[in-house]
Amino acid sequence: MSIQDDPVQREIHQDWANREYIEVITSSIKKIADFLNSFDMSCRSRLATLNEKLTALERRIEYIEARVSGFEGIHRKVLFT
Amino acid sequence: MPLVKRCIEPRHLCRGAVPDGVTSELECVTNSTLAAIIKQLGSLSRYAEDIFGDLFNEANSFYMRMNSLQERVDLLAVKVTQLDSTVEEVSLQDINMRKAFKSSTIQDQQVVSRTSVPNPVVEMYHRGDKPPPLNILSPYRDDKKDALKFYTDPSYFFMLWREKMLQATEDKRKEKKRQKEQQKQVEDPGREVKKVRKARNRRQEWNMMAYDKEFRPDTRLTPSPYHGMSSEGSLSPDNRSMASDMGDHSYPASPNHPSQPTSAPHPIDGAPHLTQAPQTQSLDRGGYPRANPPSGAAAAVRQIASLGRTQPPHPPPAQSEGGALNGPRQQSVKDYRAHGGQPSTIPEYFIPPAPPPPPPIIPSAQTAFDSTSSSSPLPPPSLPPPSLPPGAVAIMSRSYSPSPPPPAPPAHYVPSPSHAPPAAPPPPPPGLPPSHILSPAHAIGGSQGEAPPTRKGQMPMIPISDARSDLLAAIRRGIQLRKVQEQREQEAKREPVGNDVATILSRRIAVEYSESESDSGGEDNGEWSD
Repeated sequence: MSIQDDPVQREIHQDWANREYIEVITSSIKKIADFLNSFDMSCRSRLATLNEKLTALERRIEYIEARVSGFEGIHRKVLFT
Repeated sequence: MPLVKRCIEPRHLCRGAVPDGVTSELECVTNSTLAAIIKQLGSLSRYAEDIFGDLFNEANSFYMRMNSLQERVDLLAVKVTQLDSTVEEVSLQDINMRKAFKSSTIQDQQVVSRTSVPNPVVEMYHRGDKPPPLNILSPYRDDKKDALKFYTDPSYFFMLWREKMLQATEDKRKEKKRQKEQQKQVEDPGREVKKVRKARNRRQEWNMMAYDKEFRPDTRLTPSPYHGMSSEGSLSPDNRSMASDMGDHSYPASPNHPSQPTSAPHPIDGAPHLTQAPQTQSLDRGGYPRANPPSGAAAAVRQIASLGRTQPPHPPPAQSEGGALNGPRQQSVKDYRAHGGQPSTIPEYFIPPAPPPPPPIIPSAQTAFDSTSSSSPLPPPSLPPPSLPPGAVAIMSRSYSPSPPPPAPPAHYVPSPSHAPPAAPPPPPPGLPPSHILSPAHAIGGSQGEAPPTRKGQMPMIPISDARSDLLAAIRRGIQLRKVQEQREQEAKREPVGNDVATILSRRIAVEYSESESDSGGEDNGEWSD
């Protein structure tokens, strides 16, 4: 029996080992996917903050430029992007 | 459950069928599972590249903006060090007169639109079924519409909203007009007499005022000098708006004439339709006076000629009388107004109408106009003075627009009062018809007692036919031109709308804002007018 069982047992054993290997790989794939998602989200939120700061800076610089250069040729239109 | 943006492809690893004739099935399954894993890794890397690409692009744009900001800061730093407070002089005028700083407000539009869809969603969209190809049927349609739009139209809601907005703006504009008219009407009954007098005696008042008290030739012909003085504050737009619906107003105030007796000083809104509507009405009235003979007309004409030259955008409302005639005319004018006013392409010269002529004269004037337009012989020999500005002519022609349309069959000069009532809003003939109007007026009145100072006073009687033919030709051309103009105007009206949510909303807000302004201004003016 042990000999008969051995090949089957060995096979099953081997199979289990393979499955565990595959499981490790798939779980790491899931971790990668998870990481990518969260990286995407956090990156977008930081970029949005950056965007707001940039816009605020741009407006301040516009104002300072206007003050320094004495309101020359200032024609503000409402721009549509 | 959230929408899956990116789906890693081989979803199930071990569900492929095991091929036949394989002994070690477990190994087979393991191998196929590993192969699926590799495919999954492949799709995962594709999506990762996608994600990083988006983030990189955004960060790049910020980098560019940051760079430009940095340059600006550097420039500013240099400039600031160069500032010298002793050199710069800031006068008080500068502080107040300079336009206030206003930063550029950029509105983000089309944020969530077809173009900003992320890539994986686009792919998912394309994987779906397409709508049936109904567009192949659209060439066979009569009304030139997209056949597919009847099945599925992605822009349907936007179009719906846009139409609603445009309609709302139009309604508000009309409301504004009506309110102004109403206000003018309310103030009318008390003002008519005043207006008549003021219009007549303006010149006299001025002449009187020019002298010292001791030297004044006439003590008090009319009490109007007082009225004239009191009406200083009135604005021409009041006149015009009032005159529009008031059949009884005697005279068109010359634009921005200070002594105009408008009771309801509305703020001069730049609304083109408003100006158009009163203009048409005033022109209407103006048509009347032409036919009027009298000295009053002469006086008015004189005044108008002297006063009413300059302000094209504010044609004083022509005030006509003749109850019966005025009634239908007013209606036609109102109808005309309801149509959104006429295109105000022609510069408005207001030729103030003569004082209310006797009714028979009015129809004669109308018929004269019609006759000129329709190339019937003009009874009166007077010719429009060559010096008539085209604007004045245009205005005159406009005044006739409510009268029977120029293309109507020529009416006999004297007798066709019936022509007056059915006035459809004809397009404003370009300019020559007004001269005709003037000529009938002059013809009727003969030479007016006081030769009108400028253009009117110089109406030769001799070259009638030439002028007439020229006028007729011009009228014909004008009619044709007008149609094209109308089309163009309609198109122009459509064009500036654009497909922008922001533009449409801003227009609507502008209309509302001006409306509220005019309302409040009207109220104030009412207080002032007294």
